[in-house]
Amino acid sequence: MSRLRLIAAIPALFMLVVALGILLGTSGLRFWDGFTPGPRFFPGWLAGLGVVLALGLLVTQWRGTDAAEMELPTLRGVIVVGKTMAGLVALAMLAQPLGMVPALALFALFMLLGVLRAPLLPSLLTTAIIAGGIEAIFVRWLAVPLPAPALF
Amino acid sequence: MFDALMQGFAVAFQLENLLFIFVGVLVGQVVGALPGLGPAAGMALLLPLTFGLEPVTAIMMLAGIMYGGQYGGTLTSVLINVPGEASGVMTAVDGHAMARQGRAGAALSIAAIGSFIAGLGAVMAVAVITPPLASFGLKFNAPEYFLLAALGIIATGSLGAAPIRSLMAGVLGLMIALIGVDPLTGTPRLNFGVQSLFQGIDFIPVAIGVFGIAEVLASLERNDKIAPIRTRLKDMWLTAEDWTTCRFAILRGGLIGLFVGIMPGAGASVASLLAYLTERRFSKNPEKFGQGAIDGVAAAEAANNSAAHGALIPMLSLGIPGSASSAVLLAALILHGIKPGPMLMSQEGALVWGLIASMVLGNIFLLVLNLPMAPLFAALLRIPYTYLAPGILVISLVGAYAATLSMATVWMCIAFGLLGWLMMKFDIPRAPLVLALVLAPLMETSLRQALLLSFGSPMSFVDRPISAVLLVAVLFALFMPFVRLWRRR
Repeated sequence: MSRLRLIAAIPALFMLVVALGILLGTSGLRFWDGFTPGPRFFPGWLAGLGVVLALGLLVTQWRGTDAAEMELPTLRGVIVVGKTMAGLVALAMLAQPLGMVPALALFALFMLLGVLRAPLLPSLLTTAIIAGGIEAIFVRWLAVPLPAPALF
Repeated sequence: MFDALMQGFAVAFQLENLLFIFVGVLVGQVVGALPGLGPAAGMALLLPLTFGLEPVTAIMMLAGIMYGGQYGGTLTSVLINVPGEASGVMTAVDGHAMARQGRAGAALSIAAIGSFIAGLGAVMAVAVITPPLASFGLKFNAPEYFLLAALGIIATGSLGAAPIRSLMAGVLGLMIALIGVDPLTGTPRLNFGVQSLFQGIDFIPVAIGVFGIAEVLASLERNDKIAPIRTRLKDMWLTAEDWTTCRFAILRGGLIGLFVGIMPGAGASVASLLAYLTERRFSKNPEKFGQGAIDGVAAAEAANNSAAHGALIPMLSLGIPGSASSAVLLAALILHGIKPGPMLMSQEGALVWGLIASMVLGNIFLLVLNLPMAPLFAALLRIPYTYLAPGILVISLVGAYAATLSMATVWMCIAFGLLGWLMMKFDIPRAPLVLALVLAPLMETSLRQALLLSFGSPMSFVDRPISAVLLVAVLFALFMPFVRLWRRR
């Protein structure tokens, strides 16, 4: 039960950390500049508000009056999300050396075959449609300069 | 005025202009449907292509992209819960819920019809009452803008059963918006020496990440063996009950959108939010809001299209853009050698009235395009989600990249995707975060300007009658959910 309470407290703790980060990050800025608010004015108030809300949430959780319903993932769910995030990170890293379109195609194939375990032929067809669609719409039609392969 | 409008129609009905109005709305529809490429970006990308056209033709086409994008944004909001712009957030809330209930066609239909009716009404308002409306909008000053932005963020806290969590999400959104530079002094702020953070965090990667990528992660994680959502042809048609439910929603949404749209900086996102919340108060079934309320969709869509048109009022009458899209339109006027400002209507009457007439025709084109094509777009959901998910992720990241042409935006999108997924796990609403991010610059700038003008005195928020009314509304919105909670106990 206490482990669940600790997990439930994560949003409030996160907000406290962020508020602290804002206060530290703006420590070199002025809160008030003569007769006008300075660059630290708004961040300062937001940090204070964040702390109040975080403490308020912790109090409601401690009292058991928090109406939120957490939806904790299963182990399988965490693995799927983890693999997807790893794929997205790999895509972002490979976009410039390989080119955006080839990287996207590799990502789509990884998702379909490696994560979602889809059949091979429909996966290849889907990958071709995705890559072709991106090339046709974004590159050819809208002339968006997507990263090209660094080798060329 | 009638003669001027007829002259405008004569200009709009010229074959070349008709063609480019159609091209503009079609491009706007497509651009609005693509995550990451909103109307403003689409207009900016196509601006160089208009240099060979007559100014009136160019402006008609670009304006078509502007309001066509509102129609197109509905498609992604409803079908895949990824709003193309902030103005589509409220549509996504109930529109996507309707799609999951097998009523994607009905959601798209009411959105198109609501947008059309409200759009036509807004065009007439632009033509008839521009001068007095613009005068009233000019009475808003910094205190009113701050309170309006605050009301927008706090009001979203009334969504869901836990107002504290909603407010936290809103505050987090405001905190994210702090990154970059101070809006008044230009002082670097909270960028920790990271070059890519100097320009701040754009709305696009946050919205795409928090809504699009997070939703995909949640769907993949749940592995519900999601059956493809089937949209039957008959579901496209609106029932008599739908019409009865939505008729006043469209009217109210249109009026709210028009009023908010003419205020520079407020925009379609504030309009759709206010219209949605107002409709929830008036609705006979407020409990359905957030679960697939068709009147919520109608109100939000009527408001955002009305606001998109209403934003032209300050632009045409005073040379002050009311939105990012109208700012691009203003730039187009200047590039074509047209001087915007109060004299525009008298010096370039054919252009202004031609533009107004073109918006009537453009909305008709969009209604014709959207109603018969609604089942075509709804049929996309028959594709098994396994094959849709990678495509949605890919389009999201490419759209994010296209917004700024920077890989940093892609990284931000991925990071916010993870954040959005975690917010879903911890039952923290995501809409307040995204809306706060949009409203933050207006909020901070207005607050500091208000205090600057009053030499630091907060009484400026009370002394002015309009701001006093807004202050009461803000306090009401802030404390009512807690009073309700306390009463329930």
